[in-house]
Amino acid sequence: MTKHQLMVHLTGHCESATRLASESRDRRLTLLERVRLLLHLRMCSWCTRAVAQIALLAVASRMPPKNDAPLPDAARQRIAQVLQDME
Amino acid sequence: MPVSCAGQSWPWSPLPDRVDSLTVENPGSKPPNVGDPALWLAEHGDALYAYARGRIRSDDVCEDLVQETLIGAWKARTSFAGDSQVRTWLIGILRHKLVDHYRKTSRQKQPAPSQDARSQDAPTPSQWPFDDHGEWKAPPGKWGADPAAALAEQELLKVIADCRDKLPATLAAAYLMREVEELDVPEVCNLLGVTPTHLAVRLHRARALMRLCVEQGWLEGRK
Repeated sequence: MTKHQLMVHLTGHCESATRLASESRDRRLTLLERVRLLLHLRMCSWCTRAVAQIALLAVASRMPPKNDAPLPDAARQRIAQVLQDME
Repeated sequence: MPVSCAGQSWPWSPLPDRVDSLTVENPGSKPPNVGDPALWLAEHGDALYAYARGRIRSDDVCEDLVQETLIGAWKARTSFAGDSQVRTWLIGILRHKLVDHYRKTSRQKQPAPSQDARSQDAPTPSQWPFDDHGEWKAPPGKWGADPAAALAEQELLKVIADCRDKLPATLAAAYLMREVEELDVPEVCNLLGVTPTHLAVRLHRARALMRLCVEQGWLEGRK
């Protein structure tokens, strides 16, 4: 049995490990799930990398854009008109 | 520098709890910033637009969201608690409009309801990073020595936005509500009308597809 086969046997394949990692962002995993995930990540550098990248993307997704374009003048005037009609 | 007025100090908020005391000197004019959508537009229009653009690519949609936010704010103006900043309050309303927008777009593209809910948003095998055995088709690439430093790169944010646009609508809605707006799981399930198990499937798919798409798009751009 290769190291990889042993890992799959003990902790599941990479797809299910990343699924568990995904779920860990949304709910508290059971003890068994946590052990499986941590064991898998200890043995699998690919999944470890992917899990870190997914976390990085979530942080980046929440960052405000740097080159803020201002609200275009045409839209500003249109909205101002709508607001005026409403008052 | 804290300013004290009528026994209250406002170290940071430009808005007092009660505005009527400020308007005495200038009767007939509107108090600054409070209850005037035209002023909200003038002072916060750019910020609202930029916030929306950080999440949605379409300029038209972002403009509409700014408009809806200001209309919503006007209708709900009595709910404004004077101790919070107008901008914070407006952004809060905008976030509700954004979530509503994600929900609507995810509903629009729903296929026939007879289909199994789980297969609806299943990615095609060619897009999916795992093979039939659940193994990586290709190893996840290294994103530079210090991935966190990548956050400083505007290019990465652009690729992320492109990839979010490419997600199937149902997956994008789940991803945006959960990862970007950080709503809690029961709320997202409620908004999207799915079970927690199904949401977990969607989020797993969305995250895996996002990772692969960003990797491909980003590494491509650096060649």
